[in-house]
Amino acid sequence: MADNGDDEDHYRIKEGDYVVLKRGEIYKSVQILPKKKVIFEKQWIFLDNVVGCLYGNTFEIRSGGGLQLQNTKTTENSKVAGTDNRNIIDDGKSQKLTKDDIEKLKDQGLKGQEIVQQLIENSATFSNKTEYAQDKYIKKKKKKYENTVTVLRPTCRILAMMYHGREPGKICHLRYDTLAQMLTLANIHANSKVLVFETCAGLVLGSIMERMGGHGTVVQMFPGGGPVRAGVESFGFPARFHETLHEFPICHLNALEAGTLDTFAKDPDAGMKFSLQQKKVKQEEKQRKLAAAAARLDGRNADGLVIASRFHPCPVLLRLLRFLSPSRPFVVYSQYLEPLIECYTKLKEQGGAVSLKLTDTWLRHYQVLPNRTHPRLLMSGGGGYLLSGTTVAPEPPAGSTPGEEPAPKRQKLKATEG
Amino acid sequence: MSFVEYSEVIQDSDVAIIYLGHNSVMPVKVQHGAQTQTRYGVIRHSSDLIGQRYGSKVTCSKGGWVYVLHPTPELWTVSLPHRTQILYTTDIATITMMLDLKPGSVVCESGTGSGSLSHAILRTIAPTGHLHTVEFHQQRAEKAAEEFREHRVSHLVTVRNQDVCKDGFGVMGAADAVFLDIPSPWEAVGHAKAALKKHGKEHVHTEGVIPTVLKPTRTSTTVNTSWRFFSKAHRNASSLLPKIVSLSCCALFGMWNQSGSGLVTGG
Repeated sequence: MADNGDDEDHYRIKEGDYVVLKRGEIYKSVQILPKKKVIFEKQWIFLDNVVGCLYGNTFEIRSGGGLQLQNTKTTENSKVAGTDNRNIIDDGKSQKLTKDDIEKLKDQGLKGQEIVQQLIENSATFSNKTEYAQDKYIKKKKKKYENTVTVLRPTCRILAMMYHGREPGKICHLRYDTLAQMLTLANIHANSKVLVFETCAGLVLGSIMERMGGHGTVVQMFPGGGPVRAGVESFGFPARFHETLHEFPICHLNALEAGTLDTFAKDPDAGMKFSLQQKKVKQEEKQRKLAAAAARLDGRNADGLVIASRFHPCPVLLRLLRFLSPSRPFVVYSQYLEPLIECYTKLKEQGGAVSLKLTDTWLRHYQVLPNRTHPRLLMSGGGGYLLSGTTVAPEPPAGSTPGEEPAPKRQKLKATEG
Repeated sequence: MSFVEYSEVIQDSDVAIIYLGHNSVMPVKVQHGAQTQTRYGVIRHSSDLIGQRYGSKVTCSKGGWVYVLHPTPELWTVSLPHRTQILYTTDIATITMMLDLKPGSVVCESGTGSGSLSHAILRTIAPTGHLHTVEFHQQRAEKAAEEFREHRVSHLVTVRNQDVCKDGFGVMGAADAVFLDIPSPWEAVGHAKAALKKHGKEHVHTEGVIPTVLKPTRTSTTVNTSWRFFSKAHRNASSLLPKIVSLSCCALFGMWNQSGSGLVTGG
């Protein structure tokens, strides 16, 4: 049996963990800190009580706390049900409880489950509904009155869905299935060296790090002053993962290639109020990190490239491709199609890449219930576009070795077996 | 060379992918003295492949040229010899994410089929994970095991030739994720549950769209709860002409809850 004490421990929530709170389709990433008030869906909650419980548990929100929810299956399907709705009149008077009554029940401390039960009992038309309609009614009321929150361990999937639902603008409207395509097409795996250029709040970077499991190297190229990595924290990686992560400012690429990278440059924010000693230490640290990242790039032997940003991808792509070994995949995400068409055309002109594909994916959610399975809605066009390809050895400059041109008829090669 | 780690130079007994053109790739077992015929001429392994860098251009005897690429699960998917209908990269990518696969994951899969998904899983769970794959057809099981050996990934996978609906996956309480792509997935749900760790995740996949809208429902009633259901359509716009939208397979995701009394909507 694989479930021993050690495993159990791994599945329990600890203080300081980054978790994701979930209710229905709403997700929120938070850190478990003692006595810290957290807002979730317009409610204040304290997460202290969840420490020590298993991930995946659902908790009820009492007045400012969390408690374990019993696995109640008390939705006693009243055997009484109608056959259709021809006699059900929607006059708004079927429910005898008023808003105030329900508020009173809430104040009395009734659990969500019990409130729903009360609503059912006080509904004049409930027993006339069909069984399916009753199910639907109960589900709707539960959604409104059950005060529960589920605590989940963050994964790429959950965080991608969260960002897409809450703040798509921060991630360039990258839909989670498109992110899945990126990770697979770029062959992200442990023990490889991946270059990343993203402005998706760190979601893409974190997903790549998760798929590498702390093995290998990730070099993040960043525009401007510093890399944005808020999303990476939400993954809750162990400290050793961060040792594999490097960053390099894209504005210094020219210097790196010319061999004139000045790792002793003056600190731009020298006007901060640190002591001289502290400033020196910080500066040295910065230079050391820069040199380390430069060393990773110098070999021009990266194994993969992922670009996902709000900037036009063309110049970035053409600049960074030369840092990849031949026969390695690269993926470029863009919210819009046109920039990728440009990239595609330029790559075809300059060569060095094969198997270029421009794709987008459609996603459709289905409701799956016995006899009620049907699609809900079709999400298409809103997930962004991907350009993917594989690098190959670059063409030697024209005219240098004319003998390499494929001749129309060549002499038979001498047999060189063995 | 291995399917889970890159190398620079082509060596004897590697498996390399010959890129002949868009949508035209073929796998090749590199051997001293061997030759491969292509429409551009002959490739002689000893002189043209062994010792060359992956990604190089190789000129064939008739004067045409091809590229030699390092194998990846994605290239394998479009070049492998089909013994069954396979899963393609679009669906594989979604499956990989929805099952939260990463290095160290332990996965159970049935049926193995032609090994398209298997190779992708192995790439993702390496170097510390393991794949338990079950195939009830003896020749297919043997062929898959042979390929895993040639691709230098057999230390990460166990192939079992048995019927998952009767005999399960061969492991208990060990898997982080279970994947079912078989004619009657509802019959294997019980074994899937047994194979899962207490907090694992399961995914049932069914081929096609219309004929199997019934399948997820039946599987779901087996465990008496509701699932979430994804379907994908992949449009390839590389020629800038919209091609026919091909609806690829539907997949059904669920996660066992704490007490294991049933499945809840994934997430």
